[in-house]
Amino acid sequence: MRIALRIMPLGVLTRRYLESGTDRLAGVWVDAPLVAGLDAEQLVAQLGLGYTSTAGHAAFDAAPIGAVRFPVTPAVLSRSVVFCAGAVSGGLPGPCAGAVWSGTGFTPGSTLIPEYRLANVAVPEVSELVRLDGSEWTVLKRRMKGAWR
Amino acid sequence: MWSQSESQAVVQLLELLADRYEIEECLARCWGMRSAERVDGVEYSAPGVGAWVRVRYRDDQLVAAVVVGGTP
Repeated sequence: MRIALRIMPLGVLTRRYLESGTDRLAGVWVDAPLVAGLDAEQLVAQLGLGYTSTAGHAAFDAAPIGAVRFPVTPAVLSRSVVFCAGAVSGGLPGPCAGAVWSGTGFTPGSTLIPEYRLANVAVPEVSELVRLDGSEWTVLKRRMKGAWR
Repeated sequence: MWSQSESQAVVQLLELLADRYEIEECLARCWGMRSAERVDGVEYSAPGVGAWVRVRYRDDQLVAAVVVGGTP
């Protein structure tokens, strides 16, 4: 089974999934094996996460990094596209000013890591909430029978 | 400056993402947009884009989005 990561700051992850209780998954994801072994600094650099949030601060600063680790189910795949400006029907301005993504949807740099954009779907069963400790992902919770356990 | 079809594509994209965090991540990463709270929602803009995105949320879920500005 193909496994992916939807990466976000740990604080956002816990607020959304454990406190707010959302069961939805959306946004940018990457194949987990392609970022295995990377520490936080490498992850931010490789995936272009050093951007500034809409609130005007670093989106990924020194705060811990978390992720939803999930199986790429047919439902996920059918609602995902390679994330680049040109991949969206109708075209988008860009492509992605700031060159976070190139026109191919691959992050720039020596290591090519494809990123995909997922429209809003239910979190697949057996997904996990994980935290990056060093260069390893630690499981916090698992999605079982519609709840995080 | 976004064309009308590009503006429509942006709105469609935001509707697909639906959640405020996902929307703001996208607007920040793709276009370097910043937010400003308004009476009727949140307005996002960035130098060089030439348009504003206004989004109304309820419980951090998108209710409506519109692009203001751009070329006809």
